[in-house]
Amino acid sequence: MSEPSDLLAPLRAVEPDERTTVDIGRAIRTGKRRKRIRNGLTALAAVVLTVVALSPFLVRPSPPPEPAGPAEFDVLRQVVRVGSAAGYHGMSYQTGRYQHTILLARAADPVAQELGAITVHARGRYPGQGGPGWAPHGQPAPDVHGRRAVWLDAGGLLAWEWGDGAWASVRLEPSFPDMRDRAHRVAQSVVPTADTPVRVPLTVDGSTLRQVSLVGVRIPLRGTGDLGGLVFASNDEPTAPNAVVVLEEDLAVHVESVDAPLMGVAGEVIDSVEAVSDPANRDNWVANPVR
Amino acid sequence: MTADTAGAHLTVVAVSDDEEFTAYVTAALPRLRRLAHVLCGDGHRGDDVVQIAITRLYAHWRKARAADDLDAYARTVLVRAFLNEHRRRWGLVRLVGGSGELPQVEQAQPDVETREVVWAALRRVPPKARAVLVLRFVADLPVAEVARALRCSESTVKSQTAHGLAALRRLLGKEER
Repeated sequence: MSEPSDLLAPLRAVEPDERTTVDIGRAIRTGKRRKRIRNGLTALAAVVLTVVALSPFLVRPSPPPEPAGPAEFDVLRQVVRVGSAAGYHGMSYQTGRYQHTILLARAADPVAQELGAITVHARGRYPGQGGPGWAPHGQPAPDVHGRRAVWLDAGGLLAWEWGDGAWASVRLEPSFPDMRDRAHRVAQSVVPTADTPVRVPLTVDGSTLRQVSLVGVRIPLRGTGDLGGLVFASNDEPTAPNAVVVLEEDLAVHVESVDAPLMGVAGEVIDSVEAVSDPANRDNWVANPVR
Repeated sequence: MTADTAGAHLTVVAVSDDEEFTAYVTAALPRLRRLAHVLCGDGHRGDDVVQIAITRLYAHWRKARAADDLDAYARTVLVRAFLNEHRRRWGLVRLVGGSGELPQVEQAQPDVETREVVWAALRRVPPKARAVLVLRFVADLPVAEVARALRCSESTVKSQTAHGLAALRRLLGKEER
């Protein structure tokens, strides 16, 4: 029988790559923000306790405010992670300034096919969103992670408030009799992340980004036919005409689509898109594709 | 200044919390990244866990600095971050694919193939037992130290060790008959 230490001996020589995404400065910035929130909550709790102690018949303490959802996203960072749930898993994740979209496929399908999507909107950016207390049209649904949810009348099956004033929705192709239940389970698998950088196997020449800019990146989750993509448009609105350049599984750069209004202006940008050196080695993928 | 105070001339260098934190993490980063890399079985996920851990470490820096053993404190934060991320079903999602989806080009190293086989098996061991095995047999920590890192009893560490080793041997085809 081998000794335990012998069994794991091959892992003793493991050394991480010298290149790293760990950023001490970012840890300090995020840590400061958390400390401020924590200190604010502590101070608030102290004030509430004092007031309650002094005026037990006058006030009922209100719950501490929860952090508001972001008003816009960094297109180079992922804001949520999506687990496998209700027979679905994420195929790809596309970022954008005002919404992130995760395409869904059925886990059981041997070849991934888009059968739904999760759309995560920035605060105030859900289509038609109004002021505080607003909710999409529909019937109340069970909470998602303790937050309000709605069975949608249109535009999907379920929407939920994933951050204060920030809504997300799930759309699924009708395939089963219990689609609502499945949509709810999919929504529960969506977890906000702590600002995770994306990495892509493509770069674009920054000097070409004049009439159009990089408005999003696409990263593969499971079973997609490409290894990642860059999305260009003349503005950040999700409905703006765009051009998408992807790196296919065979490591060829491919123009997936160009909307007509961009035909004349995106050519130089598209031509400047290149794969990173040895893209099969994901250690070479980059967190910032603008070179 | 009096003659007395002039004689007791002290040089006081004010070091801010941020500078102290940065200096500590810069020095500790290689071993934190290595531990996270082995725990996660993936360098990118390992770095994500390290990022989460050092952010938490910063948020609790004064408490950490006052700990008896700062390295042990940082290691505990890292292991908790690893286990928490698993609980959040992170393990179900691969941002850019796993080793089975994309070819990995490794630097020439001895016994890379064996390492990959062991790693693949270790990744299938449940997270807590995996953490116990890595801390005990890769990081060479004693049972008491592992129990401290995982905030559990020593008997739990021992039972998790037994379960983890049995699972690993089974996965590697080294089961005792």
